[in-house]
Amino acid sequence: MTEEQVLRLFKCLSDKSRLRILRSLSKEDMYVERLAQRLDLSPATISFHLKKLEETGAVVSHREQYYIVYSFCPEIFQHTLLEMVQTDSPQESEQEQREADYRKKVIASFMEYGKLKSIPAQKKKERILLEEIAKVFKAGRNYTEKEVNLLIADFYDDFCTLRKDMVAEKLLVRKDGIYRKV
Amino acid sequence: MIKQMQEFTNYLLVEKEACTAQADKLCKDSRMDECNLQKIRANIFDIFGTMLSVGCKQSGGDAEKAQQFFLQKLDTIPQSWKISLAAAKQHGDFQKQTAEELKLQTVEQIRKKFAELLEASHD
Repeated sequence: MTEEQVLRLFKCLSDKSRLRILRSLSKEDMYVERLAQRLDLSPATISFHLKKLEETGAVVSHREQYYIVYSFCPEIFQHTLLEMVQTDSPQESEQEQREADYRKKVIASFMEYGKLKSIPAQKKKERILLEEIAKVFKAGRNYTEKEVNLLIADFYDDFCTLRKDMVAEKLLVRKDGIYRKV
Repeated sequence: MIKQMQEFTNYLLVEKEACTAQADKLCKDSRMDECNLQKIRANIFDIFGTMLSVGCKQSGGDAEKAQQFFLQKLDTIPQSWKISLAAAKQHGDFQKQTAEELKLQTVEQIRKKFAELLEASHD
């Protein structure tokens, strides 16, 4: 399934009447008037919902004499939620590029010659800068507080604030006075 | 006749409020599409309520003039909806089609009720 199909399906299912229609059709095939009678909704409302369900592939229809009969389509529900959530977006690479450009811009604005000029007020920007600074730490290695201070003091004079913020942002974890990169 | 016009204003208001209440109920029941359709109906009653009020004001108390103004609006306002409906049918846009059909059905309901009122005033 494409991301667009997943979105359309989720939107379509987030409606009580459509869920009730699907529940009925999962038990037996039905035509509009029968569904309307069973669910106490007008035939026009049922038709409206069925068309939406049909668009997502959740139901299919076929003609039987004078009636158009609707059937539940189980195939679409065999995808797990995880599979649907993990569906790739065609715009993902574009989004990544935009994100990378934004990071570059923030770093260029707040850092000069490898030193932090100031801590931005915006959390998002601060996070980007802290992530950049956290690159000096090696994953899996333990650091004493003094080692941490020495490393981050190269970036900013108020290294205590930086250290605390890195812990708060969960870039570093502190346990028994020992720091580790997350 | 003026009394009947007031009654009709009241009818439009009651219908509008009923649609709004129904829309709220549907929204709380996670039936957003049906809720939006009720909002469309409420809007139509509101539009024609406004038209009736404008007609009454412009006519300066002349019930005949107010009636003519309202009847004219019942014909002219839905014209663009009819065009939209035709376009929606042509392009297989069932959502738009449903909305436009509902608007036109609501106008017909208003027209019918207004005709009943006129008939009653002649009796």
